[in-house]
This record gives sequence, structure tokens and C-alpha cells, in this order.
Amino acid sequence: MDSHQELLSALKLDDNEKFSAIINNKKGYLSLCYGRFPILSICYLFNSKNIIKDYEQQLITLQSYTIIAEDLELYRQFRKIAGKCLRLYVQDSCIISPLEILALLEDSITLTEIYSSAHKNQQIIQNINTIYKVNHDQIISQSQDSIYIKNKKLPPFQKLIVLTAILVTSIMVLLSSSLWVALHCVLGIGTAKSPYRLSSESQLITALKKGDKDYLLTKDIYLSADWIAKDFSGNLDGNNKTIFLNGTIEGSIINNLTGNIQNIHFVFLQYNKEFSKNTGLVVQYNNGSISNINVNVNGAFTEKAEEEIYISCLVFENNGDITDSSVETDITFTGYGSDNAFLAGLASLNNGNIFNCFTTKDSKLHTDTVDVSGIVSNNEEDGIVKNCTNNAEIKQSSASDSWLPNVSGIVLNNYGEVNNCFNYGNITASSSATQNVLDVYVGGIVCTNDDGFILKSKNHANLEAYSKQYHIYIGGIASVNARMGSTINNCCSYGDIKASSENTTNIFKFGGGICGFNKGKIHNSYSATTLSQPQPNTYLGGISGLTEVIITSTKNNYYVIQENVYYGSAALSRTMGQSITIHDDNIVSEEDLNQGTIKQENLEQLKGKEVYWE
Amino acid sequence: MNINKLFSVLLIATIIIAFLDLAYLVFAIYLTISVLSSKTLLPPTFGTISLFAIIINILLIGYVTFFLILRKNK
Repeated sequence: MDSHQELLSALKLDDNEKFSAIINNKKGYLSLCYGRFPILSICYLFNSKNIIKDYEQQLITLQSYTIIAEDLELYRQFRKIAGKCLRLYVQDSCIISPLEILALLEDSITLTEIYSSAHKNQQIIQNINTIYKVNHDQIISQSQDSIYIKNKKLPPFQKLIVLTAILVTSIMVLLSSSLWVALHCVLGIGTAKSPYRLSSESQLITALKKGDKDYLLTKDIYLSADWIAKDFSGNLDGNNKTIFLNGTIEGSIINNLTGNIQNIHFVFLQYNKEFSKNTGLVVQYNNGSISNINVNVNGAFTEKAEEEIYISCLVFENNGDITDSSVETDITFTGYGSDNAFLAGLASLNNGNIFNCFTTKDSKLHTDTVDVSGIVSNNEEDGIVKNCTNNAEIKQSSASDSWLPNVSGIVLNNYGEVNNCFNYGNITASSSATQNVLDVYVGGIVCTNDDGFILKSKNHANLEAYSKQYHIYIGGIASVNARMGSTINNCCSYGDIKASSENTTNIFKFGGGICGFNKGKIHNSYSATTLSQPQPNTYLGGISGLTEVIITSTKNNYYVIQENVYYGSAALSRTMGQSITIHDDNIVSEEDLNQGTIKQENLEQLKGKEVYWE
Repeated sequence: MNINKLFSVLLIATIIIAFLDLAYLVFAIYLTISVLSSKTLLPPTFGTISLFAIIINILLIGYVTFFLILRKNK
């Protein structure tokens, strides 16, 4: 192979090393022209980038060439790109310049870059014009130093597709993003920052069924659909809107609450219901948080259970927190009378915290064979009822021979802590039973304090108990302070206490400013209660009606002296099995009856004592 | 890559994405009507689907830009 062929081979293969070696040995080889093709034209034709990179500047300026035989492969390669412009180069004598090759290759960028420094004549300029016009459908303008190639127009179909793609994608990006943002802002996506906005019954039902997101009520909603309570673990903010219910719901609205509900008014319209199982009208089991919930219940309840049953206007069993909530009630509850039945304003069973809750003024809770309290039925060992107030009028009137009425303002049976609670609702209990020995129990704050604590609580309402045949225990704070560990501390009572019976010979009526029957501790408390309507066998004490002599601890208590009230405890007892032996002032000393209690001439004198508070 | 092949890819991508966009539009309109007529809640998947729609459309815009630049530099 001669050196010309070796050089051509190096050009085709872009072998820069070999090309350089030949060029360095053979002077003048850079100006070789293989027939019509100068070396740089061959480089562009075969895309020999390495050689172009090193030698383009030297080759571009060449004006004259040493012509040698043309290679057939060069022509074939050229024919592929020349297209209709092949006719421009039919003469063997013409030279196909690098600029023309670039024009044929439509490499407008390189062409523009090297145009000014490249050798060109009128023929080359004319050919470039023709190539762009014929092969590429482009009009170009040239001068001696520059070339301007207008961007090639897209074919109509490509143009259509490109425009369609741009239009569709732009609209869709704009539309989908704006729609997303708009719906996100207006309707919410269920997060704390953007809760779902609920404005209809179906949305509320969906929310209660899903139950694991954040929801916000935006309108008052009537819930009239059939509904079976579901568990709810989300957060429902009522935004102080109202949910109206018309009685189509069986049981509760929420079964097990592990999330949070707040700021909702629930209105139960003409809620005349029969109950056969334990029910909290709003939540059955609260293991989460209930805050600022107002329940308005107006209706007649009927018990249809043969077993023990608890009904509450808010929660059946509270194991979480209930705060700042209230109930407004006008309820009459007719019991079945076969087993215990309980009605409470806020919760039936409390193992958690109930803080800052109340029943509203003008509320009414009227029952017959259903024991009733304003806030809680059973406050269990871990339960705390704090800063709660009863304003409801509470009344139980039983004609059953198998029923003993238990009524209180705050808690019916207390095993936990009742702290800083107030009763302003008048409480009445009456029993016309004549067959069995069934007593009547009335307490302003708690009915039976069973190893529980009643701290800094106040009764400010009138309490009244009537029994046709049997015993009565009535106290401003508790009816019965039932065990040695039962504690009443720093409590006080105002209002009137009345205890009366048609039976004036065979029964006892025990009334105390603080407690009807005390078997536990009463410390630092005072009573300004008036105890009236004396009858035979009526024991009215400034602090307690009856005191268990051995196990009680009574310290630093005060009461205002009044007609018919002579001692801190009206009577002392010793429990012997189920029977109680009464020791009244005929056989025990005045000192024993006044143990731990101090008489005050009037309320003004009492106000000076350290136990006094308002 | 051959410019015609790039265009073919653009053509096919445009057709596919147009159909996807159409499906998204129908879904979004149905959903919006349902939600605004207070029948249901906005499903959480709507955000994901919208994001997907935005991404594929942005990708197509990117591809169109790439195609036009390549076309211009030829």
C-alpha cells in the first residue's frame, strides 16, 4: 500500500497517530486532494473527529491542492449525502470543499463557526446556497466573512405534533396543579394542617367510617341515616357546628374513640328511645380525648333491660380525657325495675379524667327506678372528676317495692377522686316502697363515697328525700361515706336539706350538713346547710347524721348552729353485721357527739375560720 | 439518534400522555363534582395521581424541548 492509500485509510478510520506520522514524514501531504475530495472534506465525510480536532485550522485555509486519483468509496459515501445536489459535482475537475460537505451534512453549527476562516470562492458560496435550498429547504444568506442560516422549519406534521404536545402538557400541568391546590385548600386532604372539610351527612358518615384522618365540620349537619357505631382514631373538630340526630342511630355515634373529638354541639331531637344495653349517646368507649363537646338531649328514655344497665348522655366508659364539655338535658327515664339502672350526664363509668365539665342550668334528669347523677355514675379507682359542676334538677321518684333510690349531683358511687366540684341543681329522691326494707340515699356531690376522695367540693342546692316506709340517708356532700378509707376533705355545704317519711315510728332518717352516714374521714369541712322538717326518729347533725363510732376520723369541722341541730353528729352507731345499733344523745356523751366538730353561732363567725372558702 | 426516530418517540409519547391526561381529566371532573356536591371526601390518592399527571406532562415538555434543540442544531 502506498503512502496515499495509507493516508486515506487513516482518514477513514480517524487514526490520528498514523495520519500525523505520514504528514510529518511527507511534506505537502496536507494539500492532497483525492480526486474532488480534499483531506478536510474527507474528514467531515467520515466524521474523523480526532484528525479534525488537530488539523482543522491548518486544512481550512488551504486554497490549492495536489490532486491525485479519486477513491471509489469516497464517491459512494459522498453520493449518500449529496442527494439532489449530486448534479452540482458531475465534473471531475471540480473540488468539493469542506464547507460544501458541511452544508450537505446539514452541520450548520460547524459551518457557521469555520465559515469566516475557510477558503471560499463564488462557486462554493453558490453551491452552499443551492445545497440548503434544494436539500434542506432553507434559505441562507452569505457574505465573504459570515453565513446566516435560518432555523429550519418543522414539517407541518411535526409542527402540529410539537405544538399539540406543548399545548396539552402546559394546560395539563396548569390544570392538574391548580385543581390539586384548589381542592386541597377548599376541601382538605385529611391532615392536621389541611383537614377534610365536612359539610354534609354523607361526608360525615364517610369520615366516621374511615375514622383515621383529620376532619373539620364546616356546616351544621343532620344525621338521619341508619348508623352503627364505628371505631374512630382520627381528629374531628366540630368548629362549634352542630350535629343533629333524630333517633335513627342505635347506640352511640362512635364506638371506640382513640382519637380526638372537639368543639361539637350534638343535639338529640325528641330522642324517645328504648335502651336494652349500656349506652353513651355520643361515644361508647373513650380511650382518647373529648374536648368542648356540648350535648343537648331532649326526650323520654325507657329501659328494656333485665340486667344492669348504664346510660349516659356523652360517654359510657371513659378511659381517656373529657374536658370542657357540657350536657343540656330534659330527660325522663322510665326504668324496668328488674336490675340496677343508672343515668349520668357525662359518663357512666370513669377510669380517666373528667375536667371542667358541667350540666347546664334548666337541665332536668327525672327518673323512677333509675339511679341518677349529674356527671358520673361510677367514678372508679383511677378516675378523677375535677372542676365539674351540676346545675341540673335531679329527681328520682320510685314506686317500686324492689328499688332503693340513689341520687347525687356529681358522682353516684365514688371509688376515685372528686375534686373541686360543685352542685347547684336541686336534688329530690322519693320512694313509696312499702314491701321491702329499701332505703333512700341522697348526696349533694356523691351518693356513696366508697374508699374514694372528695376534696374541696361544695353543695349549694336544696336536697330533699322522702320515704314512705324506710330509712333515709341524706348529706350535703355525701349520702354515705362508706369505708374507713373514704375521705371528705375541705368540703362545704349550703342550701336546705329535708328528710321526711310517712313512717314516724319504725324507721330512722339521718341528715348531715356534710354526710348522712359517716364511716370514714371528714376533715377541714364546714356546713352552713339548714336541716329542716324534723319528725320523730329524725337525726340531723351539723356535719353528719350518723357516725360509726370506732372507725371514723372526724377533725377540724365546723357547722352553723340552728334549730333542731344540736351536735356535729346526731347519732353514733356500731355496725353489727347487717344491723346498726343507734346510740343517740340519751346514752352517749355530748363530747362524743361533737368529736371533731365545732359549732359556730352564725356564718359570719364561720367565715373567720381557716377551713372557710368560697 | 436519528431525528425521525426522536420524532416518532415524541409522537407516541404525546398520544399516550394525551390519553392519560384525558383519563385524569374525567377522573378529576367526576371527583370534583362528587366532592363539591358533598357526596364524598377527597381521596388521598388524588394528590398522588395529580402529582403523577404533572410529572409526566413536565417530562413530555422536557422531551419536546430536547427534540427542538436537537432539531435546531442539526
